[in-house]
Amino acid sequence: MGKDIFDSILEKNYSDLSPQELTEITPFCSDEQSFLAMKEVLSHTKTIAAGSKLTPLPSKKEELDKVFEATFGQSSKKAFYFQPLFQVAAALLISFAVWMFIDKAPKSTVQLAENKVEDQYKQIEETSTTQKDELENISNENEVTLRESETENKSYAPLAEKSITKKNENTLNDDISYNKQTKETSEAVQSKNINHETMINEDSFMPVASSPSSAAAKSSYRTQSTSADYITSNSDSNPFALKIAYSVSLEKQQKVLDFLVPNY
Amino acid sequence: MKLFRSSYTDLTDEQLMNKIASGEKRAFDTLYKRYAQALLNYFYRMLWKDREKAEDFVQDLFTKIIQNPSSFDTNRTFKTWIYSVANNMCKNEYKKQAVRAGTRNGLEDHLAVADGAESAFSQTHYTLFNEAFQKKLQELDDKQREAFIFRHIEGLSIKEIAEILKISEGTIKSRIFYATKFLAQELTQYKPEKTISHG
Repeated sequence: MGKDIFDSILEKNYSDLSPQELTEITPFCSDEQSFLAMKEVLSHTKTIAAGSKLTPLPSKKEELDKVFEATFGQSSKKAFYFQPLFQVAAALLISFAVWMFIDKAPKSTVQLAENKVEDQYKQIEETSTTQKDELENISNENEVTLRESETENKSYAPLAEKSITKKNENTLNDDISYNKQTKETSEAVQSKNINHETMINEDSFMPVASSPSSAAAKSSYRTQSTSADYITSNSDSNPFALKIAYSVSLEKQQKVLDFLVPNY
Repeated sequence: MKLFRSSYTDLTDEQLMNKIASGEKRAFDTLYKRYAQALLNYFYRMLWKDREKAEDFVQDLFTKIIQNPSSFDTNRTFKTWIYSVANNMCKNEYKKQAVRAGTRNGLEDHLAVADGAESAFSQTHYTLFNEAFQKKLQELDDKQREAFIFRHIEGLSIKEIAEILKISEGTIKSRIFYATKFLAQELTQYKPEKTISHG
């Protein structure tokens, strides 16, 4: 606020007033005495104005707040995400999350990958162990079956010899051809066994894609197992045919006969 | 981004009014903090030192601001606008009191209250002078009193008062001079220069 004539009255003496100021106040105070009386009143008024002031009652403000709420309603309430504290908290949270992601993500990815590989190796080891056990069982069963058949062959050897001698060459040829077929089947089964073992061994060293291979190996093994079972069941239903198949197909059969015939 | 409350204190009165019009409560709180006390004291002096009435008038004024913020004339400064509204409220009150009491402006009833209170404040020269000052102030013509209060108590400039009362600056000066001269003549017997030093 710029100073005016009333400030001049307060601050200056009568003799210090400029001609312009004197001209301005002359209609209201023509001499120095009236000037001093006016100055005293203004000075006292200033003291009163600077004195203690009334303070509004808080209850009145509360009533005004209610009026404000009633007038503007919900519009006066900002959405929570406009609240400064929420904005600061959100910014901090986002910064922290970004920092966490940048700092921790590569390590966690590597850790996960390591865990995956370890799990896969474990699965492969378990699968290969199981399959090996099953194969061992199968081979044991086959050996037992073979021994049984050999034992039975021994007991039926005289009959077989008689039968062989009685049969004519055509029949022998038929048997030989039949035995050849059986031998081929047996060799095929053996080759399948070898292949299956190879597959399992290969699968056990394949790190990631082992599951489908294992499934294939299992499927192959089941096929193999089925054929072995078929042979076993055939030996029960028609043991003689199978025994002939084994005895004729192998050179050992001749050696057995050579051993048995003289002893008989 | 305005994150902190202090940002509202940096806004001008006019900017705060715009925000109040859009329903921002904190803008209203800031404006209330700026003017409530000054207006309360203004009403208190203008309305016969009746505090309860002064409180009610302050509340009425801010209620008008809340309910009709568009009534603010954006071509004017808020300070002069709100004081002109307050001044008009006082004038209306004078008229009401004049009708009730059958007097010119209803001041006599309230002056009687002031007279009764005078004895309580007669312990020192200062309080005597102060009470006499308040009494003589009420005896002033309404136009002279409002100009005097605006200039010497509320601290407004001549230009602002002219804007509030919508009259020329020369007329304002003249009214203030007449009021000051009247008070000086009436209070000479109290010798304020001595009482002030005692106070």
